[in-house]
Formats: sequence, C-alpha cells, structure tokens
Amino acid sequence: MEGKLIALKLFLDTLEIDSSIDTVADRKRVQKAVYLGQLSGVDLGYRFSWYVMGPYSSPLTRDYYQLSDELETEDDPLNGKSLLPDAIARLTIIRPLLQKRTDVDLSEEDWLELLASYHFLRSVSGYSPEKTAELLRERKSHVADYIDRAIESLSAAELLNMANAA
Amino acid sequence: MISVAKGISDPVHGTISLSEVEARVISTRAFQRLRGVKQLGLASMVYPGADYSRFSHSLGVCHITSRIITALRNNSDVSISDEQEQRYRLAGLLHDVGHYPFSHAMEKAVNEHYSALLTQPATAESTPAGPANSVVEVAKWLDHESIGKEVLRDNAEMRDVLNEHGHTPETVYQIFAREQPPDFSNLVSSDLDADRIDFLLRTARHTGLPYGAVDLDYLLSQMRVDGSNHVCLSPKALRVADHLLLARYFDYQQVAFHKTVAGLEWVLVEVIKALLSAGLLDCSTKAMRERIASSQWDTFDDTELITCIRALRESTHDSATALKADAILLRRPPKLMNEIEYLAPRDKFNAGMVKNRKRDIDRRVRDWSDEFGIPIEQWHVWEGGLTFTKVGSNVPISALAADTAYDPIDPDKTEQAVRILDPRTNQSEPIMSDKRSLMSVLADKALYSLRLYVVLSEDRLNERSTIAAKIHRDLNDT
Repeated sequence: MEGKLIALKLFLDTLEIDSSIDTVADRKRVQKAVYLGQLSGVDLGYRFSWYVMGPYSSPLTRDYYQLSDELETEDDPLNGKSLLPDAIARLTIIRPLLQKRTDVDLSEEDWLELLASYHFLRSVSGYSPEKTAELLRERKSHVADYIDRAIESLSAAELLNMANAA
Repeated sequence: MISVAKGISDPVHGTISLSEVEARVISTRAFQRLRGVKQLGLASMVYPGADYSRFSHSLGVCHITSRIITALRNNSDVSISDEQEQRYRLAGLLHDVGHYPFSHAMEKAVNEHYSALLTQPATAESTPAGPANSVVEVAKWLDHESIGKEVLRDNAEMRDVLNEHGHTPETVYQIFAREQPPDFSNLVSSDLDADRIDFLLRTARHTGLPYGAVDLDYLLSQMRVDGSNHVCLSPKALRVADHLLLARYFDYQQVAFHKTVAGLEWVLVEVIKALLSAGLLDCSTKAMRERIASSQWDTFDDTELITCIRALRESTHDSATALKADAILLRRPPKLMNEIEYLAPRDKFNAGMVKNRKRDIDRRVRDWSDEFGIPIEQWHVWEGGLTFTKVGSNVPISALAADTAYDPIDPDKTEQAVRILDPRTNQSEPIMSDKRSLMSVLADKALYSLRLYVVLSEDRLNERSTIAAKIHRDLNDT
C-alpha cells in the first residue's frame, strides 16, 4: 500500500475513527475527522474547501476509497509500519475533541460536521463569531442547537485562538 | 463591465482584454514564471504542439470567467457587481499561480515523499516526541492551491499590485480555494467551470486533436442561475453539454492517458521522488515558504527541474534511477509490455476485478524481473480510470466504484456536476438525472485500464518483443 494511504489509516486508527466508508454518514465522519485531526499539527497534506456539508477535500475522497479497497484485499496493508511517536502524541492530545459529548444529542458524524464547519468558517473563511453562527443556523439547522457546545469544545482544545474576526 | 487596459492576442479566444490590475498582475515575476510551467507536463514529447503554458491557460480562464458572468447577468435575475466580476476574474487569472514545475506529476511525488516521512517500521526504536523541529514538522508539504495562497499573500510584488488596486490577496484566493461559502455554489470547481472549459479548448488547439470543437458560444449563451443559486444550463443546451463531456473524455483518453505520455509521467514522478530522497530538492513547507519570500520562487519552473534531473543523472550510482532520468532527458520512454482496457459499469465488482488483476501482475513482475534480469525498480503496473464526468487525469480504480457521478444523497459530489434547469420549478438537476441525456447512460461507466511498463536500457531494446510475448503467454495461461 502507498505510504500516504498507510499514514491515513494509522492517523484514523490513532484518532479511534472507523475508516469504513459504506454510507454518506461514514464518509462525512472520515472527512471531518481528518480535517480536525490535521489541526493537531500532523499534516497529511489534505486541503479543504467549503461544500454543502462543510469542509471537504476531493483528494481525501479519492484516497479513502483506495484505502478501503486496499484494506479489503491486502494481507498486510500497513506493511509493518507505525506512525512516528511525535505524530501519535499530537493526535492523542486532540482525540478527546472528536468524541461526542454526553450533553450533545447528535450522531457522531453530525457532531464532527459541526465542529469542523465552525472551525473552518472562523479560521479559514475569517468570519466573525456572529456571522459564523448565523450561517450555521441558516444552512445547517440540523446541528444549530449545539453551536455553543462546539465553541466550548474547540476553545478547550485551544483551536479558536488563531481565528480572525471578519 | 471591466474597463480594458490591455488586449492580448490568443489562439483560442481571439483577443483577451485585461483590466489595469490584471495587466499589472501578469507582469509580476511570480506570474511570468507560469510561462515556464507547461500545462500538459510531458505531453509535448508525444504531441509536439502541446507545449502551451499555464500562463496562456490562466489568461483564458480569466476571459471565460467574464463570459460566464455576462451570460448569468443576461439570462437570470442576479446581481453581480463589476467589483465582484473583477474578483472572480482575478481568481481565474491566479488560480494556477502556485503550481509546481510539471504540475500534477511533481505534486504527486511531493505528496508521496513527505507523507511517507510520517511513518516508520513498527519495530523501530521509539524516539521521544519532539517540538517544532521534529520530523512531523519537516513532513509538512503544500499542494498547489496552498502555494498559490502563499504567493498571493507573501510575495511582496504580487501583494503590492493587488493592494494598490484595492484588492486583498484573501478576497482572491478565497474564491479559487473555495474558502468561503460561494455566492454561486458551482461557479468555481465544477464540470462546467472556466478552468475546465479553457483546458479542453486549448488542449485541442495545441495537440491538433479534434475534440475541442465544442459550441462554446451556444453553451455560454445558455448558462443561467437557478432558484438555489446553482449555475446551470437551459434544457436547450442538453446536447451541447453531452458533447462537452464526451469531448473531454476523448481528450483525456488521447492525451493524459496516451500510453507514452502516461509512461513518461510515471518515470517523472519516480525521478522527482529520487531527487527529494537524495536531498537535491527540498519541497517541505518551510523550504517552499522561503522560496516564495525570496526571488527563488520566480525561477522554479520546468527548466529548473530539468537542471536538477541532469544533476541527479550525473551523480547517481543507481542504474534504474539513471535510466529513468534518461527517459526524461533523452526521451526514452518506458515500453508498454501489456495492456488490459475495457469500458464497464463503475461498481465495486469491476473495481475489485481490476485490483485483483493488478495484484496478480504485481506478483508475477518479480518472476519476470528474475527471468529477464531487469531490476524490479524498472517495472511498473499502471492503473487508470477514466469517467465521463469529473474527469481526472488518473482516478484510482478503487475510487471509481463509489465515486459515482450521480448520487443524490452525496451533495458534495453532485454539486460539481453539469446541471440542467427545469423551467417549471426554476431548480436544476445534475445532467445524468435527465433521461434524455447521453450522460444518464454513460455517467455510471468507466474506462478501466491496467498497463505494464518496463524501462529498458538502449542495449536491450531489441529484446522488447521477446519479453512482451512471454508476458502475454504467462498472463493468458491463467
């Protein structure tokens, strides 16, 4: 298996994210988990753009289909490799962010969509907190009740420090 | 309407008019650099005229962007100010400014090299996690859109030109990188965007292939915006949209998937990876940022990379690397020894069949390597998948199965399709959901392709047919 796919699989494993991609919900979970995981500083090189479901990377889509296929058919897909200890340490620090809070009544993938979308709109799009919340309420009503909790979680992980208000 | 400051003669579009800020942007060193980055990589080794640069393509994208906006204004009740039009035009003009030399081939090599640095053998001695200078930091790399963003922001000359005309780098790159929810969901990065349209027309013009004879004037005249702000076509343009997508399929089949072009692109990726491994080239994020901030970025083009490959050729003691470098420098492409190609539904069954076949050939390569005394590094099993929508230069076979052209429950993918308006509802649907379209039949098909290439030294070229015959026999005995 190619080195970049090995790195992707180990990255997801360390984040304790299931790499299956059978459904749209599965694929959304992987997309948003990789977006959030890369915020740890472990950069797999995926760049994200804004699409209907929030941050989305076309190269990641191609890679996870290929990964899924390789995992099904390869005897030793990881080729005896592990992530560097430094990468594991960084991902371990950010891992609790990806775990759904007990006070949030959303599916795992919707929670990740909310976290990733809020972070993207603030730090990449450069929107103010008010504009971000307004846009999420308008376009993502299915997660809008939990915007405050997403802000709490992202702040606790120190991921909103760099966000610039528009 | 943009105020014209300069006109440039173009073989595809006639005269391309530029505003004052655009005329100044194209005079910056970072933009002039694009004259030295070929749009089609090594395709000119097969089609001698296919050596046009990202410079002329970028001018074309800027031009088509305005034509699309004019059509949207004429055909729909939308308000697009001159200021917005200027931003979209600048985004079109600058969308490729961050491409590496030889574009996608080099980006693939950089990706593979730096991603692999994040892993180690599981049995390796554990080293403590480190801070900013750790391998995790060194392994960071930038894709071309990210580099483009850095060029706009951190190249002083480019930034100053934009600022002097009242634009910020952010307002430009946020459009081409889709960093904000767009005004029109699919104006940028779709099957019908200015980038893909100019690519098709320009490639056809320069290769001499006939597939660019698309009725662009009619296509543009039928573009409009639906009630959900999707850019779409009127139903009258259904045939010309089918024609555009078919033309692009044939164009990719004949150019990017050409057996010699694809073989050369493979060795180019291998040679660039060898350059990175040997330390003759550094494309880490840190190194690229230093290039961009200095004048080194302005000369980082195809010619500079060829100079690096010459240096590698002179210094390497590895015979396979030397042969691959010669393949590029002397046009000695790898030889095609076997090929399996067929059009079939895009599904898991077919993707799995091709994957299993590839694994079988991969295993046999070891035997053939021993039998013919040709090192394993000189063999390559190439896989490609070509589709009628969202065509890429090389889509992994496994991605074809589920990367279906029309999956109504996967909105991020269907957003990129050509859309046809239903005038009764003022909403549009992806072309493949319209039963009158050719794409409703073809969009779920793909051309599956497996090829076996070998890099042969000059003194062994006469063995080619013998080796190919043996491989053919072995593969057909099973």
